[in-house]
Order: sequence, then C-alpha cells, then structure tokens
Amino acid sequence: MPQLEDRKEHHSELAEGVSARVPTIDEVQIKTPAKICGMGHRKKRKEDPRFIQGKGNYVDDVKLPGMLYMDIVRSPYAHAKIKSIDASAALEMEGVVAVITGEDLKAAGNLHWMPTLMSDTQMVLPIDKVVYYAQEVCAVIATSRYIA
Amino acid sequence: MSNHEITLTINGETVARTVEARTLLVHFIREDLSLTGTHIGCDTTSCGACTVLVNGRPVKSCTMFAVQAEGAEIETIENLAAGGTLHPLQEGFWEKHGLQCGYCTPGMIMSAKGFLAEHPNPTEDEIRHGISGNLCRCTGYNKIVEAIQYAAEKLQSAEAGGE
Repeated sequence: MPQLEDRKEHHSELAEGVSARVPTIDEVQIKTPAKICGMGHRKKRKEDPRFIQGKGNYVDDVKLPGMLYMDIVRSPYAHAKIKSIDASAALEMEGVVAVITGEDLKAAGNLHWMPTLMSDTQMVLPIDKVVYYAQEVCAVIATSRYIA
Repeated sequence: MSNHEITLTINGETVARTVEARTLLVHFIREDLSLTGTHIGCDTTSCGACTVLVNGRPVKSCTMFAVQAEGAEIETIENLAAGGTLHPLQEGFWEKHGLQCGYCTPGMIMSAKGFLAEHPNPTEDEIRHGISGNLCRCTGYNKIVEAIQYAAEKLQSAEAGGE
C-alpha cells in the first residue's frame, strides 16, 4: 500500500491534468436541438416581420370612428400670471369640439393636479400662473389635427 | 386654407387627391393614403422616422408639403416586400437584429435603400454617414450598420449573379 510520502507529484501538476480534460468554449457542442430549447442557439425574433414591413400597430396608427385630435396651447412666457383664457374664437371654428382649461379640470373633480409615481403631485393645467416656458396652458380638441 | 388637387405615384400606383396647402406629406401618406408604416417621431425634422423616397431620394416627409409632391414618385416601406419576398434590407434587419422597438426602422430602411442606390459598395464609415439623418434610441446603431452591410453584399451578389 503506497504511503502518502511516496506520492511525489506536485499539486499543480495534478491540477493541470484535470483542467486538460475540461472542454473549452470552442469545443462545447450544444446537444439540445434549437427546437427543444433555444438556449445557445441563434434565434430570429418573431415580431420583426411586421415591423420591417411597416405593419406595426403603434398608437398613432390606431384609427377609430369618431376619433378626435388634441393639440396643446403653450405659454410663450417663462413665468406669468394667467389673467384669463378666452376660447371664444377657437370654439367658433368649425370642427373644434372643446377647449379644456385648468379651471375645467378643477371643476371635474380636482383633476388639475395629478399624483406622480414619486408620491407627490404635479400640475396638469395651470389655474393662476404658468411657471415654465412652453408650459401647457389649455388643450384644444377638434375633429382633425390640423383644425386643432 | 386653399385646397389643391394633386396627382402622384405612390408605390407604383397613381393617385389623385385634394389636399389643403398646409397638409404635410407625412400626414397625407399616413392618413389620406392609410399607409401607416411611415412614422412620426419628432417635431423638429431631427429623427428621420418619416423618411420616404421621393423620386428615388430619401426625404423626411414631415418637412415637405403634400402639394410639393405633385407629379413625384413616392416609395414607402410598404413597397419593399411587394410580391411576397422580403427585400435584402428587410432580411438584413431581421437576420442581424437591426431593430428592437421597430419605430425608427421604416425610416432607417428607406434611408438605407436610397443610400445603397448611390453607394452600392460602402465602407462602414460611409454607411454611418449615410444614415446619420436617422435616429435610433434602442439599438445603438451597430446592428443597423451590420444589417445594411448584409444587404449591400446581397444586392451586389444578386447583381453579379444576374449578369
């Protein structure tokens, strides 16, 4: 029976012997066919065919009967008091269905402020004053985007 | 707002329509002609998602009026797989994963088509310059460039094979 002291191989030589038997990345054969499990195999995406042909259905592509279009009136001032909003000229235009202001949202149930994901609130449409350049002041709803 | 009668060819078909002077070509294509493959991605002529070919040249259709297309030949993304087989560019984008959300893709492909018509054997730098008018938020562009290289090769060998 060989004694431990008789074994003269160095540990690193033993380790080398073992690692020589482990296959490297180049040698690994993926045995499971692509049909069974896609891992390790190239895969073309299923959704691409419609996108590369322009057949996607993005939100702006949706057309529903009676659809209306919205455009926003923005403030040319960075910081200004809102004295009044006069929507009469817009409402007289054929095709304009509504003009929505902060006061309208407030009357509809305090909707002029909305909760954010950060547990605070954010102005939707202003009541008294605008606080940044190009801030939304009111929304025009019409039967075509050009009329709006 | 004045109305104008325009006649143009879209994807090989001649159409005659009445449009307002202010109607943009992109809205005409998407709404009057119901070809929604061409997308709108910005308000500033920056993104190129609206790119179509006008008389063979890539044009951002958001920055052109429909009335300016009177008498022109317009080609949109919907024309590429006409006949049932994908165009080499479409194949390339699929094979090389040149898209993720797909929103920039029609504009990217139309730009590339116009570019390859003028530069059938481009270097990578030339491709990157050729599509520099088209923005993509998803891919980082490398796979798009590979897709266009794939298509360039395929188109070249198809030409060579046909001769």
